[in-house]
Amino acid sequence: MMVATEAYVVLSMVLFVLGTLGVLLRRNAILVFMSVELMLNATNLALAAFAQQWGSETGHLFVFFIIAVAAAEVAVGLALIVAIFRSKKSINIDELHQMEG
Amino acid sequence: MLELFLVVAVLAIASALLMLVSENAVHSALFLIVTMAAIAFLFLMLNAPFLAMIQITVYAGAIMVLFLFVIMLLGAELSETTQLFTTTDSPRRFRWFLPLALTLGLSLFFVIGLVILNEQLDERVIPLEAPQARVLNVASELGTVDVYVGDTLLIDNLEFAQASDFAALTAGENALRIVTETGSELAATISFEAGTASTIIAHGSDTPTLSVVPTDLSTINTPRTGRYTVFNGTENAIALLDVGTEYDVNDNFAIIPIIEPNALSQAVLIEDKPVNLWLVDAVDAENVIARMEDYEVAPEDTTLIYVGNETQFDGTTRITAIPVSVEARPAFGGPRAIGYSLFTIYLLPFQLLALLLLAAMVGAIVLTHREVSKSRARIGERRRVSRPLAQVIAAQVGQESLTNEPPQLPNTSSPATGD
Repeated sequence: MMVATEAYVVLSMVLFVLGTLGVLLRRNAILVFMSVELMLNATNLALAAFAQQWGSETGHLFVFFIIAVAAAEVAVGLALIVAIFRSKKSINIDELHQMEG
Repeated sequence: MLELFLVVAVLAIASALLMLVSENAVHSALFLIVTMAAIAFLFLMLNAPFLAMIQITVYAGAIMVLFLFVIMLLGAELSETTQLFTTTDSPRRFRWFLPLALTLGLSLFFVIGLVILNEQLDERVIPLEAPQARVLNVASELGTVDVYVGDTLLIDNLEFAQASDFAALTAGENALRIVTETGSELAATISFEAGTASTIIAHGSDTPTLSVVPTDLSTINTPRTGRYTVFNGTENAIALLDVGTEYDVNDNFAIIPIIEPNALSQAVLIEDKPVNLWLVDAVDAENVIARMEDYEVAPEDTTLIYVGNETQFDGTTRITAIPVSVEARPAFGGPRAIGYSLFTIYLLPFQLLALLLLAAMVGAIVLTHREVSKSRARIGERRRVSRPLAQVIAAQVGQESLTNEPPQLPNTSSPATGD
């Protein structure tokens, strides 16, 4: 007995909204990154739910690609944060609003 | 099922909330790992076992560990930047972030809620795919044939006991023509339904006829078994037996008890192990029609065994069993199904993704690389001492200035000589 797809979409939406709140409200750059990961996970859940509803594996493949791209993005983003921290000694995004240095 | 979903969903939402409000960045990372584990469990509930394992391995096992490394490296877990709401000493232009974020969240809720309540979340019926058909040539009289559907060539040089691959046809009536090397034709008009797979068997030793039988390509849910059907091309009813290693007809297991002539039997599942299959007369079990000994069962495949006449090299005919296998649809969401798509249709995005990951790795190394400068002169230079060592020792020990004699060991016992 399958759980209805709407339930998964509602859960995905709640997690996505929580991720958006995290991106907008947290000051720590790493916390912002983790909120972005939460948003990506929410969309993965919605894609997998629709893949089950349609009986097609295309949704699963898209989730696979999203996970791989998220891994690449996290690697580069955290490297950037480490590099910024070395020069500015702070990861508060309120203080990182200048593109120089 | 719904209760289990609700429990896991509440766990995921609670863990996400705790991640947002936690002051310690390490705690936030751990809560996010709990959320990802809950989502992996939901993937399992969604018949996506491959995705669940990838989620645990890559997301929770690699990406979050990288996050924790960086948090520890930067010492960010206890910095004062982890407060949720901006305090009074923050710049004025950021004070409207909280109401804006809440408004955005509520509007997202509203929009999705409207869509769900109006039932516009598409419950579209999955469209049936085009009918699939293949041709099996087991008519001795025809020899090597070419098969045409309408005007297009389906397969050419189809030899005896060979089957073509499944090809997609248009639903409805299709004119099938089988042309032999001598030019004679065998034609028929067959109607196909969408969403089905059929095998067209050209059989018969005296007068070749066409029989259309359905082929079940759906997922075989039992692991390491194959789906078998038998088409009886002889004039008598036969049975399929598994005679075991003793070849004892009486102590046998009848896999399919009766197969009517010119008909397809029911489908059975046979486990993956070498078997000795005998096709015997349904009435008289001693009368063996054909044998398939030391036959390796084809797992995950749908196999059609054709039993009928085969013309030998010397012109005599003998009844043989010809198995023809095709791979059944792999389990939904399993690694085989995803692998099929990844390596055929989506091969280009897959390879580009690999390149992207490689570029990201190289970029991460380049971004965090730090030049450590060494002064070359300092390595080759030796430090010059100001006073000789002997004078330093004498000053500390309080003796007379030592001569340049090296210190002597006290003459205690004679050195032991081994023999």
